[in-house]
Amino acid sequence: MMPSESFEQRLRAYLDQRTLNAGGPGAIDRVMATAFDGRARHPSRRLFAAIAVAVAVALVVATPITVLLLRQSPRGTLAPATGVSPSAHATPTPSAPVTSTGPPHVNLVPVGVAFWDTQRGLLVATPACDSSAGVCPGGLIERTGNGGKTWLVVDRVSASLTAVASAGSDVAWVSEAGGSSCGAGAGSCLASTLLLTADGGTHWTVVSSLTPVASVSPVSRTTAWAVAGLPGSLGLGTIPVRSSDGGRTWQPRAALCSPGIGVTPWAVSFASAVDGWLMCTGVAATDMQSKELWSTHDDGATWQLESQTCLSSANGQAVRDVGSLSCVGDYPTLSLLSDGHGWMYAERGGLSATSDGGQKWTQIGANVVTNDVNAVISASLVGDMNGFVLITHSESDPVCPTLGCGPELLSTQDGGRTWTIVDSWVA
Amino acid sequence: MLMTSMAIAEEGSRRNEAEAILRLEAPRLLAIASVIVGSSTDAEDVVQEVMIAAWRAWDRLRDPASRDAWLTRICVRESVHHGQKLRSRWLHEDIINDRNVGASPLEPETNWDGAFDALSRQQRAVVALHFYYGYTLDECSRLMGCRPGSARQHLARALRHLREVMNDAV
Repeated sequence: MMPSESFEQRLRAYLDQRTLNAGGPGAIDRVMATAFDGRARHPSRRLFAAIAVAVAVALVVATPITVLLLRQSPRGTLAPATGVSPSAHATPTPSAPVTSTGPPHVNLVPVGVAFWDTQRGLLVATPACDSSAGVCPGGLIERTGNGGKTWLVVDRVSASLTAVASAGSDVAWVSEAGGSSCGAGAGSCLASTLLLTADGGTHWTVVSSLTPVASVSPVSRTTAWAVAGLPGSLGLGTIPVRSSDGGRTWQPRAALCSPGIGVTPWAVSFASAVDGWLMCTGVAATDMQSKELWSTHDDGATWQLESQTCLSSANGQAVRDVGSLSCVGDYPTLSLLSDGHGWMYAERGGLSATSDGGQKWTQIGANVVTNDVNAVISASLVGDMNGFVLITHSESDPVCPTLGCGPELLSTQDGGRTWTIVDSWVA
Repeated sequence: MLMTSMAIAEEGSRRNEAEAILRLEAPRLLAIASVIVGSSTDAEDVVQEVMIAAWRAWDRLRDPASRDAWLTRICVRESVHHGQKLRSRWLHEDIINDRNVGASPLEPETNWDGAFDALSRQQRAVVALHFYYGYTLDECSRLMGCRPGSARQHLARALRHLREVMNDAV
């Protein structure tokens, strides 16, 4: 027997023994219980939780004034948004100042925001309910005319709403959930029913389609781009689609994602009738995902590759990165402007910005977004320096014990260097 | 109320299905994690993270036939980066390797343990995936999220170290 064969055999025997010993008695039950029920916490988790609580208490004791000041936003009175004309069944939702004692919007969970400018925007929300249900039935659309300081309900629907996207100065398209199997992330939900407004949210039209779509990005009252796929399995055979009849029918467009390297269309963002971006992604693993970003400036007739990362060819060879798109972050969502400024947010990938149409990306908002502590669930860029993000907090966020873990709406006026908490909701 | 009940029922059914599949996969994932992180305690932590990550993205898996590879990939990457996450949390725990409890330092397998535990996470991962699970080096690199050349380097260095410690001629 050759020495190398003997060595390999011994190595395999050792690995065999090592894997056989994996997991002591009850290991699988402990893992499953912790992952699915949150019970039987692992000792190290308990230690980490204890440390997290201690840090939270220390923070609260040491800096109450700082935290209080941080949470106070420059809110005005409770006047309804300018020009708001709620429908008959709508009721105003008064908002209290954001302080540590009286957060507004109890029993309301915002899931998406979209602004036309720094003052006017829409928010879609779902009523809070038993979290084990995953998706709660019923949805609300609210409108603001003062940069998110106050909101007024403009429509209620029986279905859950998952996303809102704006275009021009008064157009917005809202997506209804295709069913409770659409998953936790709004970006993954496929919608067969859309709600459209062309007058800033005053009147709404319900449109149903035979083609379930996600990542709807309108450019006008009649035209929008989206990604179509199979319900509950977005990604498999997904393809960019375009509608020119207000979402009733969708026509497939050429899929541009590089063939043979495992990426498929995931999200689109159109800033005008001609300027748009398509994000292609591969299978997500932990906090990394291969990505490829394309742009068009002629309504999809031709596309240019802006950046790509973390790709490998069918034979396993790494594909050279293009641009500075980060491999870290799953399920990216885009919000770009025609001048090439844009934001991208991703699960466990934070918020990043580009100013050259998607070639170079830099992380922004590190002072307000920390992976596994809080996360961006919606973002709306309205100018080179102005934008809004909706963030959620996890239980491990040190601010939770005293200030609550509810979603918050933040705004920036300096490209993401500093942020102001505009509004907040109870978890 | 009816809609809420239906939503809960549908969600519950979906969750039961996922839980059953993940429970079947758990032993395999525990074995992979245990080899890479070197501690049963940490391996359980890793697989918990894998379960949570898998459940979080359950509906986004496009091809159910690739579920095994998908879970393996998450598990390998979570195992390789597990130590880094702990360090980033300033969490200092004694690493308890319960396989070594009661083992004599003169036993041959202890030598293998010492030699193997001295390897980096990436080196342990590529050795286990290549020699025990039979993945090609290109497949190893995809599972680990690194370039094929990096996987080859990790394997070469790992084997050199193991052979040196085990006094095995190359």
